[in-house]
Amino acid sequence: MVDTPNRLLESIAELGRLRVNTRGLERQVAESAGAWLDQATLRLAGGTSTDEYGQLRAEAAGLVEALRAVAGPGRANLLLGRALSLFVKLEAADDGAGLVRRMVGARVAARVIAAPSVVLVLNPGSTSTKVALFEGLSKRHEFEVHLSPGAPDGIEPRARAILAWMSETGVGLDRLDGIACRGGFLKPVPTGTYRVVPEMVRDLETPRIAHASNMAIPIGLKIAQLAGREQEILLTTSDPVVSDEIDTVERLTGFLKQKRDGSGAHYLNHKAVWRTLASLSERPPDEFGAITAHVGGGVSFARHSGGRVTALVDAFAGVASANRCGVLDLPRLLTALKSSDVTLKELEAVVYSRGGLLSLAGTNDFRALTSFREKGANEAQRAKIDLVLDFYGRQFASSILRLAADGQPVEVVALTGGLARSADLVERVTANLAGHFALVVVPGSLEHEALAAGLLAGLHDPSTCRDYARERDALHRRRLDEERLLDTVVFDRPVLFKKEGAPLSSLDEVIDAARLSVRDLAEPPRIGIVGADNDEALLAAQRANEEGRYRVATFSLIGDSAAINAAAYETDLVLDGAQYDVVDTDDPVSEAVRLCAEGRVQILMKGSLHTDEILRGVFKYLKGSGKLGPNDLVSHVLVADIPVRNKLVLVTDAAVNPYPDEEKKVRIIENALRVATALRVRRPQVAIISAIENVNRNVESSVEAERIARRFADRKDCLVEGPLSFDVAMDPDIAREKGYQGRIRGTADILVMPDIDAGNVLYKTLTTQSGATVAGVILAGSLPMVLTSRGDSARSKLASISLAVKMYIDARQNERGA
Amino acid sequence: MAAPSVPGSWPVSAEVRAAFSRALPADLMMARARHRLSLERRTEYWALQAERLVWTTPFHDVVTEADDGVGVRWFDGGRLNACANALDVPVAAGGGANRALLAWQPDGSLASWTYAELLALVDALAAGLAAHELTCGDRVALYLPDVPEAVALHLAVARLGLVAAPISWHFSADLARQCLTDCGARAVLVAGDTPDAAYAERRDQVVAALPGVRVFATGGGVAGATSWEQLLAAGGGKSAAPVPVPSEHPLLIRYARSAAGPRGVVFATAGFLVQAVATHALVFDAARPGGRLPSIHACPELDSIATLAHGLWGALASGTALSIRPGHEPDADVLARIAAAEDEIGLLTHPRHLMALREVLGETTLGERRFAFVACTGDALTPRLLRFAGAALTHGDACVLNLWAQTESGGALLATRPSAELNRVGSLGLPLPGLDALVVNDLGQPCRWNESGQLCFRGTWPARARDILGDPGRFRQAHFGLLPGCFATRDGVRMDAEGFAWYMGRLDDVVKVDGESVATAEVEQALAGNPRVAEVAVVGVAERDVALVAFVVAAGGVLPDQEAALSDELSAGARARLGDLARRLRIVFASALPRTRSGKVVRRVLKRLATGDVRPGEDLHHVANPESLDDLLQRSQANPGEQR
Repeated sequence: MVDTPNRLLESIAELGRLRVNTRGLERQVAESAGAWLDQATLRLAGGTSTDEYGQLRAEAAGLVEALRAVAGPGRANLLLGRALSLFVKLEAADDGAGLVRRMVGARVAARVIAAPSVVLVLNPGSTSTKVALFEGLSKRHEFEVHLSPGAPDGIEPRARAILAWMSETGVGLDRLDGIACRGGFLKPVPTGTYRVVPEMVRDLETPRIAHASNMAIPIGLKIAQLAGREQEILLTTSDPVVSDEIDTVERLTGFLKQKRDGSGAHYLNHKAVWRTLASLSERPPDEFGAITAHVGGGVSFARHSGGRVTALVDAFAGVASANRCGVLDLPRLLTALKSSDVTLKELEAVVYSRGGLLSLAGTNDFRALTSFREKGANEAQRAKIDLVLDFYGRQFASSILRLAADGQPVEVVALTGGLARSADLVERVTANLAGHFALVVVPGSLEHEALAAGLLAGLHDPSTCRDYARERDALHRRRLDEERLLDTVVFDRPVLFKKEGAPLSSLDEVIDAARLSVRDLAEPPRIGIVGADNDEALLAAQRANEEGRYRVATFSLIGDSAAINAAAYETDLVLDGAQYDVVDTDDPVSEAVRLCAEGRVQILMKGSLHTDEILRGVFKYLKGSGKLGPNDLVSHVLVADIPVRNKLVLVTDAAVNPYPDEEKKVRIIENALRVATALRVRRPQVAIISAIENVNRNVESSVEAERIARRFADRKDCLVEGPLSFDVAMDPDIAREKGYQGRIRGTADILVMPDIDAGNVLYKTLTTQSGATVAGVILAGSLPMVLTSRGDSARSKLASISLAVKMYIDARQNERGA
Repeated sequence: MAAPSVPGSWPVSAEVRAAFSRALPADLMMARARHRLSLERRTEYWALQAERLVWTTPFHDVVTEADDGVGVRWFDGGRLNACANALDVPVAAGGGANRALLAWQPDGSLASWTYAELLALVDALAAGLAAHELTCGDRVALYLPDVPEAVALHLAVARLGLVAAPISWHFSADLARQCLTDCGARAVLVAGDTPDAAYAERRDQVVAALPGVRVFATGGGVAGATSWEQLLAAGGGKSAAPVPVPSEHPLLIRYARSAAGPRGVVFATAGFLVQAVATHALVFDAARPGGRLPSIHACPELDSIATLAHGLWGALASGTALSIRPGHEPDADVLARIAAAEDEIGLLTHPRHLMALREVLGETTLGERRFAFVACTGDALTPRLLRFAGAALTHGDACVLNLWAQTESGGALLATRPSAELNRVGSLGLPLPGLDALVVNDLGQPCRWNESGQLCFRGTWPARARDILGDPGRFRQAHFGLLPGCFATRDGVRMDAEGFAWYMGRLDDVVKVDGESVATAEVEQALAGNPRVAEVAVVGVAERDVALVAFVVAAGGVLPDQEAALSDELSAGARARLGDLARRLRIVFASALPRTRSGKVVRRVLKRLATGDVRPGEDLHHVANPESLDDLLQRSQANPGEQR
């Protein structure tokens, strides 16, 4: 039952009242909760005992659970975010065992506690190797093993240095149960923990990028070997940088050639934070949708959904970071590149190492920037720094929001990495997100815990370890299938949107228009090829019918059947009697004309006979049957598609009437206008070409041109002007330079040539020198004739046939309408 | 003398018998059903047809085929005599008074023989031959125009189990001599007293140097020749009994020109005769309401297999009179007279002849009395010629029969029938029963409806040529290379949805080199014999020094600096096979031959390439491997001097 408007308004008012009440309560809760959170944070900072930790944890857990129930845009989200941040801090306190427990899950954690194992974590950097030792769930030792200055860098030196450090910690090599190595630039695999296998070593020999992390696995293997316990020590790696499990749709960009993939993010940290937060929220990871933002030296954002990282803003092509520029404005960049304002080298530097904050402010240290703002910056510099910080705040927030655009639930958004320690930045991002999400702050990174957790899970539940080679190959195959899908051709020729009734501006459009017109007919028109033992004509016919789904016409092959059969044999033409049939005759012209008279053939096409022979026969027939009235003339119209011009241009008469007088020229113009109408050109501009733009008694063609133009002065359906020279008719700049006063300034649709020489020269110049494609048609009354010459390209022949078909169909429709 | 008749000894089922009891199927469906039956029960079908002949010894096997489809034996174990079947049997059956042979003389008079008369003549002739110590298996050549003596000699030769070797009287003396030597002829019949001076000169040259070969001449004027009368008298009035020969005993060796010298195509007695009478019954007799054709006039020469099969042997053995006329001017008057004189006579002719008649007759016709039908064999019969023949020479389009035959086929294998149902104007008709015709593309795959490819026949048929005399490999190479077990005819054909075959053209060209016609396929085979040649296509060009251009794809490729050496090697090989012709051959190496999607070599384009008439970037989208064209264009541009 639908409520009456009054009832509806009442309900809304009630809702509003409730909201007001809720807001009040919200405010109260926010104050109290905020106060408690502040206090807890202070106590934490001040130092707490283990019992207090326990108590605080319990309270935080309770608070988080309660807040989750009422989470929603606004204050509740803010509170939830803060609560969770505190919770994480609490878990991370002490020896980090809480985090590791959260990451491995309760079951494995129980096993680890029952049988504590010793795990070494390796995380090589360019000048040092970060290491950590875990006993059970707890991190016992953490260190950065530097290279000795002057000593050569290599797997063995580093391994030995690490062993030296280990012996200092007192943890014996014989107690080592596993070594968790940072993943290097292996081949792409889905995220997860992988047992180290020889395949990895092989793949690391040819990494995509040379990076210190590539050394981690070899160092781990070396250590195991030096310990003499290769068979007993488990080596794993987790969530390498080359992980890739994004959705197919994320691979597309606006340029088919440029496809994205999932590599280039801080997967280890992203996954670690996400898993931790899922556990803190008491939710199974597969159902915990989240967005994690790692902002540190490099910046990357990951969207977690259904247990995978389904979308990504990566560290190179994402947002600006401390030293990378991220995504730029391409059109402006192109202009800058073309005008050499920016060089490719510069661009490369800015993309990889000297962009971002370094480019904006001259430093890649946010802390230095903010402290300079406090002490030492003048007013202008302070304003600039504020702008830069504002910029980053917006950039980070917008990336987070962009990743939320898949319609899936987002339980939390986490800000992690080194920059998450900056209160200023956190404040800005929180404000920009306007409470849409619960924002959790996890400063620094959980990488060592994640690596250890991965290995522990592998130790105590081997099914969690994935098979590198199989996953790598499966992903590769999936990506190949994806490529094939993404590369699927939808329209093989660009089908451009065309407004209804707009003029046809290219020969491709003519071809399409013909096809569409034929599709609406009950039967396609029949074209008779006069002298069909001609390879080119047969190939043109074949092409007309084999490209595209709609056949443009059927063909009657008129001529000596033995010769036609031999030609058809070699061109693989299928003579099925319907699509193509053979009319055996030794006088093709008469036979063709007879078929026209009987209506069995509607359009004629030149085959191996000479044009004049065909025209003679046709002319006789048309005159005799009265189809060619006294005011009609047989003339040739050329339609040229010139690459540098944005519309078609018609040229007449380049093939049939050698030296037409004024009367003939008038009729030639009428024929050309008919073609222009078929091309849907409204009010065609007809330029009568001469050598000059003004009337000169010595130049006969100019005098005649003016006369003819005058005869068309009152015509509303076209604009006829003359004399014009060719450049004035075709080029607006030249028309302007010459100060031409007429109305056709470089915009001619139809060029009426003074004689066949000029016409033919223009025709051949266009095709041989200007790269134009041309279609030619001879109009003889209502009978269009297709005239192709041997040098014409395939496209050109197809266009000629299509043009003739279109003219024939238009003529028929006019007859019916009239 | 009556030939003993032995009742049919091979079991033929009632079904097959019933299916073929009517000569002409009522409609297309029945025709197809019959045809299918004839293929499924092939042995029964041919055994049924074999019952039309009289056998002295019945055969015990209908057909035995070798695995490769090349070797074959039909009606193994049987013995018969062709001449007896043609003459003795009809006479014994009471048809002695029927006319057997009609000869229209140049002066307009008509000489005719009844079966009995012809039998007597042939008997005496055979006795005369025997008196000249010609025995079973010896070759007797014929080198003369169509005269009744030639017919008689064919019959007499068969009577004694000799082998007839008809040589076209248009052959040059040289060529004729080669043929005679090739078959080891022991005797040759030539024409004396002939108005044709050119022939007389050739004849004299031929007989001038033939050691150990008896020369018989009709008429006088031939030095050292036994005259016709002498030959007849030599028998001494004795009678020559027909010698029963085994089925596979050669009946004819027909000589054809070829680039590598004359080739003698061998035909077996039983197979040739069985198929001739079967075809005659199915195609010609069926054309008549009475079910029997009284007489047939043969225009193509007596040395052509089609005439021998359908005009001579098929006709006579079926009780149809053979009418001949020496000389081939398009004498419409004579034809009119022939048509007028005979009650029902068919015309066996050739498209060239029809074209010439059309020039003469124009719009007029032969008059009221016309031929009962016109059977056309040889070249392509274009629809307009067919309509002319139907309108001017016979009673309508349906009465014009198009027969497809080749020398090696031993007779017509595809034919249209004289009924509107089984005839399509311009088509080659349907395959005759027992013939399994298919259209195959150059990749060896069967073609779909209306797709053109090469006409092939699966399996064998009785009249098929057995071999090429003295050159067994050539027969296999020429015809059995495309599909195993299939005979490739080298004719381009398409079959439409109804099953009618339509002629599309020869697969190779026939080029005139120094006045001689050369089939490019022969040159291709000569070159393909060299193992270094993977593919080759030869086209004819009209240049001063070069008449043939061979595009060769070397097996495993050939380095540019080795091309000259390989070219020389191939030329030498060609010279050995083809003789002087090799001088007019130019060899061009290619990385691949340009082919269409269905594998056809695009010869027309190759021809244009050979004369430098192809523009780069030309639209040749039917070529499936355009890189081959680019490669060839590059080469032709690299050697511009050779092109012009």
